[in-house]
Amino acid sequence: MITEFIELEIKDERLLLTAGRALVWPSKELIIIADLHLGKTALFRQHGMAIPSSVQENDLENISKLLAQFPSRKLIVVGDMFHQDFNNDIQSFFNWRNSFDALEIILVEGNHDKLPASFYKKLDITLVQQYLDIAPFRFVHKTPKLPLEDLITISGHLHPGVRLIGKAKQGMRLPCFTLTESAMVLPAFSLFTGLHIGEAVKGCQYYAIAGNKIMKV
Amino acid sequence: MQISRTKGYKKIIAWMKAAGNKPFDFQKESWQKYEDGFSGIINAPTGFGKTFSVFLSVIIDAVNKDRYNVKGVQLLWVTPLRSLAKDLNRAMQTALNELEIPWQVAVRNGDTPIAERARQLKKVPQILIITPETIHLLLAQKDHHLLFENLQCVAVDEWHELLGSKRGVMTELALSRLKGLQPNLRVWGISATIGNIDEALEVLIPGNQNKTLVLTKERKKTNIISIIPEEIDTLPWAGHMGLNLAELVVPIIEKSNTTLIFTNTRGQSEAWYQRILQVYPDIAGAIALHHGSIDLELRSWIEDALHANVLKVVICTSSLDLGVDFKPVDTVIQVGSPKGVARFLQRAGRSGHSPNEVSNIYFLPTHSLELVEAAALKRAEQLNLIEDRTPMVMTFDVLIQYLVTLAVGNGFRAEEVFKEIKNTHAFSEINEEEWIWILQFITVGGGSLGAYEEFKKVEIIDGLYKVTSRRTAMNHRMNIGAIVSAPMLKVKFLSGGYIGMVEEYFVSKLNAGDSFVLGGHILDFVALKDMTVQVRKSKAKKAIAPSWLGGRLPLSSNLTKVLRDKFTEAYYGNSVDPELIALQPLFEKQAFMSHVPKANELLVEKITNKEGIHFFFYPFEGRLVHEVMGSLIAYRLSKLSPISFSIAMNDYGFELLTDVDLQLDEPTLRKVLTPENLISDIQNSINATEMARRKFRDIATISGLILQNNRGKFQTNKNLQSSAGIFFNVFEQFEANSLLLRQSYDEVFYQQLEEPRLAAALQRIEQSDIILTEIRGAFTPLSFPIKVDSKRNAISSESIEERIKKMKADMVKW
Repeated sequence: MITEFIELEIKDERLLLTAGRALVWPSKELIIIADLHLGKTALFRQHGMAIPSSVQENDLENISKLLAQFPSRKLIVVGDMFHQDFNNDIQSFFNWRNSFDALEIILVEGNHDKLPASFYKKLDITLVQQYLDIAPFRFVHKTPKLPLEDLITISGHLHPGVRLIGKAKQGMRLPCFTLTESAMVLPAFSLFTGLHIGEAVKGCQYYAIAGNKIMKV
Repeated sequence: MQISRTKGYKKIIAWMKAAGNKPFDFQKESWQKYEDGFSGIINAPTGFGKTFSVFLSVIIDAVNKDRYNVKGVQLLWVTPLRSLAKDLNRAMQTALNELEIPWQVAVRNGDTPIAERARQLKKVPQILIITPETIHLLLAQKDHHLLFENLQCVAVDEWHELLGSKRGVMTELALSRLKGLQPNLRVWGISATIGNIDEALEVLIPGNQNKTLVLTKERKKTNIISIIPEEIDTLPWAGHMGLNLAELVVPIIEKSNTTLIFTNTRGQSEAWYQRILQVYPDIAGAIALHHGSIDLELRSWIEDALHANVLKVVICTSSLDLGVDFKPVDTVIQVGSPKGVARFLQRAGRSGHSPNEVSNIYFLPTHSLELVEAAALKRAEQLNLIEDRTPMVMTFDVLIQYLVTLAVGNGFRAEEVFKEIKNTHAFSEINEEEWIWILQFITVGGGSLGAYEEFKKVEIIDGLYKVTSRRTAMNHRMNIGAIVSAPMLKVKFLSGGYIGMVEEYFVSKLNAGDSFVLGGHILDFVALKDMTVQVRKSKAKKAIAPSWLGGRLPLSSNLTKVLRDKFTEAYYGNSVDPELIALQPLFEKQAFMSHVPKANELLVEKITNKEGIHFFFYPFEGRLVHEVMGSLIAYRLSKLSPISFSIAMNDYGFELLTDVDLQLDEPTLRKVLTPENLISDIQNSINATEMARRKFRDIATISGLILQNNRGKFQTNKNLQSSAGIFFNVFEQFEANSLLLRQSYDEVFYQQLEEPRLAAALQRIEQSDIILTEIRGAFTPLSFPIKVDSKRNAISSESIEERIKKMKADMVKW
C-alpha cells in the first residue's frame, strides 16, 4: 500500500509529510520518525496484559514499506525508540535490523531510551544525546520551550493528535503532524501509543492522518 | 416433616409472640420449604419481613439439629449494597442474642477494616454479610474452602437488583463454585416483584435442583397523585427540569412529615435544591441534597439525619432508590418521568414503609405530555406491569476475571470449573472452542499462537491453573468487580474541605473563573491540580450544573405500551383520568392541527417551515429505540435518493430534518419501516465500531486488560499505561477473533441498541395503520418537544475525506 504524502517547502528544503507517520527529506535521502517504543508490547505481556507481538512486527513492517517507497540512506529517530528494557520484542528488532544493515540509524535520545551504550553499538545505531543539527533543522526529542533563532526544531515525545468535530454525533481522533514557524512535531510512529489532544493553538498547522491518507485540517 | 411440629419452629414462634408478632403466611411457607431441602426465591413487598423468612429458616434448622456450636460460616448473606449490611447485622445479632443462640454475625465488604478481616479468619462468624465482589475476594484467598466447609445456605438479597447486571453474573459464578465445594447447598433469593420472576429463579438456581417460588398475597398500597397546575398553560410543551412548578411542592412538603424529592439526574437535583430554597426560604437547615457525586461522609450524615427525623426534605437521585428504610419519610415526589414502572414503584415504596401503611407518591410533570405518562403509570401500577430484568449472558470479561480469581486463590482444574460454569445460566451456551480461547487468554495471552511470547499471568502447574506472581495476584485483587466508573475528580475548596466528585469530562470543558453547582454550593473553578479540582465559593447567583453523563434512560417497553393506550383514550376524549382531562385542550389542538394517534396507528407528521422539511414519526417506543430507528429510516431513505438528514428524538418519537422536499407516501413508508434486513441495515446506519469501542472500556477493565482499582486510580507505573481505546484498535487489527471484541459488539446490539425491542417495534408498526398529515409553519404539541431536544445525530454517506473537510479542527494538543 502506497502511503500518501503532502509536500512542504520549509527554508527552501523540500519535505514530505507522509501518512506513514514519517517525515521524508528527499535531498538528504533521510527519513525521520519519532516514538517507536520498541519492546512496549512485550513489557505489557510480561505484566499479564495480552498485547500480541504482531503489533510491533507491524510497526517494523511499516518502516520497511517507507524505505521501499522513499529509498533512503539514513533513518533518524527523534527519541523514544526503545520503551524500556531488553525483551523478546527487541530480539525481533535485531532480526529486522540485520535485513537493513546498509541503513544508517541515528537515535536522538529520548526519555524512554534507557538501554546501555553497548546495546546500541551492537545494533549499529548511532546514539546522539541532546540533539542533532542538520541545517536548517535541529532534531531533538522534546520541543524546546523557546524557539531557536536560526534552526527549526523537529521533535516527537508529545504523540500529537487532533479531534475533529462534525455534525455527526461522534468526532474523530486522529494522529497528526503539527507545524509552527519554529517547530514541527511528528506523530508517534508506533500504533500502540495514545494521542494527546488539547486546545488548538493559533498559528499552528495540523496535518491529520487517516489510514493511508494525510490532509491539512 | 411438618415444620410446625419442630422445636425450632416453636422456639421462634414463642420469641415472636413475646414481641407481639406473628409470622406471615409466606414466612411459614418458606420455613417449610427450607426444611424440605428446597432452594427458592421469596417475593414480597418491602417492609413485610423478607429478611426474616430466610434468616429464620436457617435458625430453625440449626435449633432442630442442635447446631449451636458449629464451626465455619453457616449462612452467607449476599447484599448488593454495603449500606444495608450494618442494619442487617444489628437486626440478626439482636435476634440471635434474644434467642440465646451463640452465633456471631459479621459484615465483610470493602469498608471492613483489615484487623476485623483478620479476626474473622481466626474466629469464623456463623453468619457473614457480604457483597458479590467480596465473595470473589474470598475466593481469591488461599484456603477459602475452610471457611465454607459447613456452609448451609446462601441468601441473595435484592436479587432483582443484581439480575440484569454483570454483578449478577458474578453472583452466579460464585454460587457455582460454592456449590462445587458444598453440593447440598441451599440458595435463597429475595426479590421485589419483576416481570420475569420465573426466569429470575432459573438464573439464581439453575439445573434440576428442588426449587420454589414463595409469593405473598400481601400487596403494598400505593397512592399516586399527579401535580396538575390549575392553569394547564403554565405547563410548558417541552422541557425536563420542571422548576416552574416548584411552588406547588411547598404545600406538600408542609403537610408531610418528611419528603423525598426524586429527580432523574444529578444536575436536575442541584437545580431543584436551589429552586426550593428560593421559593421556600424557611426550609433552610431542614433540606439536604443527596446524589452519587456528593461526599460519602456527607451522604451518610444525611441518611442518619433522615432516620433521626431532623430533615424535612431531601432532594435526591437514584442514589436513594435502594437501601435502608427511613421511617420518618411519608411522602415522595417524583420530578419528571421515572421512565419505568418498577423504578416509580420502588421510589414510591420509600415512603410509608411499614406493612400496612400506604406509600404516597406525587408525580410532578416537567412538560405537559408527561401527564399522559402519569396516567399510564397509574394504569401500569394497577395491572402490576413491572418490567423484566433481562439476565446477562456470555459476559466473557466477567468469566475471565473469575478464572483469574480462582487461579489467585487455590488454583483450579479446567474440567471441574468448566462443568460448574456450564451449569450457570450465564454460560450455559458456552462451547468448547470459546472455553479454550479463554483458557489461552489467561495463560498465553490470546488465540494466535506465538504472538504472545513472554506473556505471564496464569500458569498451568500439574494441571492446576495458578497465579504464582505476587504482583499479579495483588493487582488482580485490587481490580475485582464489575462496576467500572467513569474517571472522576475530587472537588475541594482552596482552603481544604472536600465537596464531592465530578466527571473528568465535565472539568475538561471548564475554564478558570467558570462557575458551577455542586452539593448545593455555587463554586468558581480555580484550577485542576494533582487530580483535584480546586474551587472557591462563588459570588455568582446562577451557575451551570455539571451534566453528568449517562443520565438519560429510555422509557421501558411496559410503560410505552400503556402510554399508547392512553393516547387512544385521549383520541376518543372519554378518559376519566384527571391528567387526560386536564390535557384535553392540548389534545384538541393536536387533533385540529394533525391527529391524535391511537394504539394501532403510526402517526407521521410532515411539517414544512423555513428551517426545512421535518418528518416526525411517533412510535412511542422510548428514546433508545427511536435513536436507532431514526438512523435506520434515514439510512434507508438515503438509499432511495441522495439526501442527508439530521435526527432528533425523545421518548415519544423522532424527527428527520432535511432540506430536500421529499414526498413520502404510504408505500415508501412501509418500505423503509420494514423489519426485514434489520441487522445489516442497522450496521450500515450507525457507527457500531465507535459504540463498541466505548463498551470495550468496561470489558477491558473487568477482564484485567487494563488496571484500575475501585477508587478510580489508574496504573501508576507510567511505562505500563495504556487506554482501552488503544487495546481496541490493536484487537481490531491483530486479534479480530477475540471473544472480548465480539462481546463488545454484542453488548452494543443487544443492550445498547436493544435490537430485539427494535425488531418487535417494527413488527408492530407493520400491523398498524399509517396516518400521514401535513402541516405548514407551526409545530404540533407532539412534535414540539422533539424539536427542542438539542441532542442531534446525522446520517451521511460521505467518505472519510469529505467528512474531515467538513469538520473543523476544534481541539488539538500535544
